[in-house]
Amino acid sequence: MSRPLESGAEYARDIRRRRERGFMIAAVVFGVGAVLWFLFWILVALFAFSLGPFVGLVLVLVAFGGAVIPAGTAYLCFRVARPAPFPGDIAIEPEEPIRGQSVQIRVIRHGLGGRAAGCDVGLVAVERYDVQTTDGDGNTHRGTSQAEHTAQWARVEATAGEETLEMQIPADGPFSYEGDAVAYRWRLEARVHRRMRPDRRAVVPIWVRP
Amino acid sequence: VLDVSVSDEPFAPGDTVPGQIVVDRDVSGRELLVALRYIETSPDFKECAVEVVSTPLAQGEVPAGTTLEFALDLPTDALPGFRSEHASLHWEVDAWVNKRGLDPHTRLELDVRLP
Repeated sequence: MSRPLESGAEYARDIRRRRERGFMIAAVVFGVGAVLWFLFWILVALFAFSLGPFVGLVLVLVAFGGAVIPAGTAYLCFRVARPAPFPGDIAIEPEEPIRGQSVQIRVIRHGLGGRAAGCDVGLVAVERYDVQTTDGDGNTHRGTSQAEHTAQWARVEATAGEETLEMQIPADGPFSYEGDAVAYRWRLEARVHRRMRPDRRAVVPIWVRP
Repeated sequence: VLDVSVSDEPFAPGDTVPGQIVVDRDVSGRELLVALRYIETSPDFKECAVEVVSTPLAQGEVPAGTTLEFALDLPTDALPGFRSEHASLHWEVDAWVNKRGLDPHTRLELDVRLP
């Protein structure tokens, strides 16, 4: 029942690892696909120019046009794997709140960019629990699932500046706990929503005492 | 086989949990024990995070109708119980007869809250 000091950091690493694994593979696959598509059609276009400029030009457009979609998908996957950092800083006081306690959340925002559609700051609690899973061969494995337990969000200005918010840790919510079969994890999170682009996020794990 | 009851609920960390075990029918084993446990429960698994075990309350044959008193202390840093949609944490009293083969257990969930 002792508190693992690195529980929050381990949680953040966990999220990063899972993202990196899946989305980075997808980014590489789509990226390589885009390059191969582009090179193939450019080579064909070079050959086609000898037949006539119009056919060559059309094939150059095919090379660019066809590469845009997988290249864009590769970029999106890369950004999900490695989210753009939050342009600022967030902090909570006290750092180890007690359930039912009010907390002060300080949000420092540098330039959020013209595409910022809004900035949300929230306290999120997640429950993680071990489950038994069965693979295609009928072998059973012990895995971990998670679900959001509590989340409260506040909208702050999407412009540069500093703001202090007050929120309350729910008295009937979970306390931070790291066990063998069950864990409850809290985090402070800030998200800058950007039009047509992935959110910029900052996550600060926090330890909520019972 | 064993009927467990406690009094003075709810409990707080550091409290003594007083209770009694009534033996329903004759039992024979090496010893009769009782423990407080902090249990993590997920949909498919159950783990014990903390355990406080008594000294044997009885040894050898225990005739039906015997009543055994016990008092176990919760740790001073005991966490409270908590239940969510998919998981729970709770304290329980577990009384069992240590014998050959499967030990018969009787468990009772405790209400532990912070003061």
